[in-house]
Parts: sequence; structure tokens; C-alpha cells
Amino acid sequence: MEPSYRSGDYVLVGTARWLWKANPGDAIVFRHERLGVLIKRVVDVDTERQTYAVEGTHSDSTATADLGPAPFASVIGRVLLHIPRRRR
Amino acid sequence: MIHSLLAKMDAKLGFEEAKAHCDVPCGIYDPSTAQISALTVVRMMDLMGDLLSGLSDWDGEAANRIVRYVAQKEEHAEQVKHEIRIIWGDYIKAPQVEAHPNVHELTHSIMTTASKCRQGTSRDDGLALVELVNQFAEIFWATKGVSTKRAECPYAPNLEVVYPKL
Repeated sequence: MEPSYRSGDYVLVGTARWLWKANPGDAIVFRHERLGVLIKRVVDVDTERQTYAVEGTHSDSTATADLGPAPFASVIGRVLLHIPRRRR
Repeated sequence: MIHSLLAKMDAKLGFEEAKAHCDVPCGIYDPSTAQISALTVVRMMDLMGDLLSGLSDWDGEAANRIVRYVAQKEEHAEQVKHEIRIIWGDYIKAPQVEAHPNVHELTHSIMTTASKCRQGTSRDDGLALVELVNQFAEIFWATKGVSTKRAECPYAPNLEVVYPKL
């Protein structure tokens, strides 16, 4: 999800979903059935269908249009802390 | 400093990795290219064998033909590896591995057998490659919920090939 997150960065993920809810702008980590564990930014919350619409922060990044919405149940957690890799 | 500390912990504990998946997932995967390439490898071996068995003297024409056959055998064996690696690396994920636990070993066997086909001219290696790729195709179509059949391809080398019943 460059440029916000780059390969090798670490994130601290809050997994206690009863403590938080993801809002537009938050980064979440979730399991995609085909692509595995992904990190994306929430752009919309559909409380009726219990899904998040997501996007990356790069123009080429795949978003909900390609991935499908992320069901609440697929979410591992919300990113609480971002520890970027040192840039040289 | 915090990142360095985390990197050391990661090396020991193996944190789970999240991917941003920024490339475009076209979702188009099909083992048929690998199957055709594997058949081509056998076909080139057969053409080489026919040429060499009927050859009394080397001339420029024969040398040219054998070089072309070898070049095609090399290219298509490498194509098999390329196509299978893409399906295995980009499409096969945990649920497919769970349903088909032999897929990693099968993929590795395809890599090594295709390399053998590049290195030598043994038709048995070519036949083994076709069969391994057929098994991979059966797994692939099973993950799509598509049943398959085995039938002889209607062109040389007339080997048994796995086809999807679409």
C-alpha cells in the first residue's frame, strides 16, 4: 500500500474488535479468500451488509472494485501503530 | 531502533505478513499453456529422434534442423516452469493447499523434470513432464469446481491430456 506502507514496515494490529470499530481512513488487516492477508485503508463502512469498502494509497493499488468488499468477519484487526523501515 | 528490534523479533518469532497487493490481479489463470508447452517438449524430442535415426551424414540442413528443435525444446520446457510458477505463486493459496496438500511437491517435481528435459533428450522425461502437468491441471480445475476428463490430444505427439469439462 505504498506510499503509506512500504515493504518491510511493521504494524501493530489491534485484534480486539469489541474495543474498536474501523472508520473510513483507518487501515485494516484482513484475510482475503484468494489473496491471503492484506492491508488496506477503509473508505466506507456498510453496516447493513457488514462489510468494509477498501482501497490502497497508490494509484495502481487494488481496491474493492477488484477485491470485493471485506466482510467484518474477515478482519484480523485495525492498524494501531506503524513502524516504518528506515529509508536509506 | 524500534524497527531493528522488531526485525530481530520477527526473525525469531516469524510475524504474520500482510500484503498490500498493488499489482493488478487479472484473475486469469489457466494451465493449458503449460500443457501445450509440455507436449511441445515431447514433440521436439520425437522430431530430434526421427532426424537422428534417419541421418547418414551430417550436413548444414540437418544441423540447422537439430538446432531449431533443441531451441524449441529449451524454450517450451522453460515456458512450462514459468506458467506453473505463476499459477502456483499467484493463484494457489492456503485454501487450495489445504484441499490439495501435494501441490507444493508436485510443483517442485514439475520444475526439476522440466529442467531434466532441457538438459537431455530422454523421451521418458518428456512423458513424465506431460503427466505431472496433467496432474497439476486436475488440481487447478478441481479448485475451480470444474470436472476434467483425460483424452488423447488430436495431434502429435498424441498423448493423454487433461481437459476441463466446461
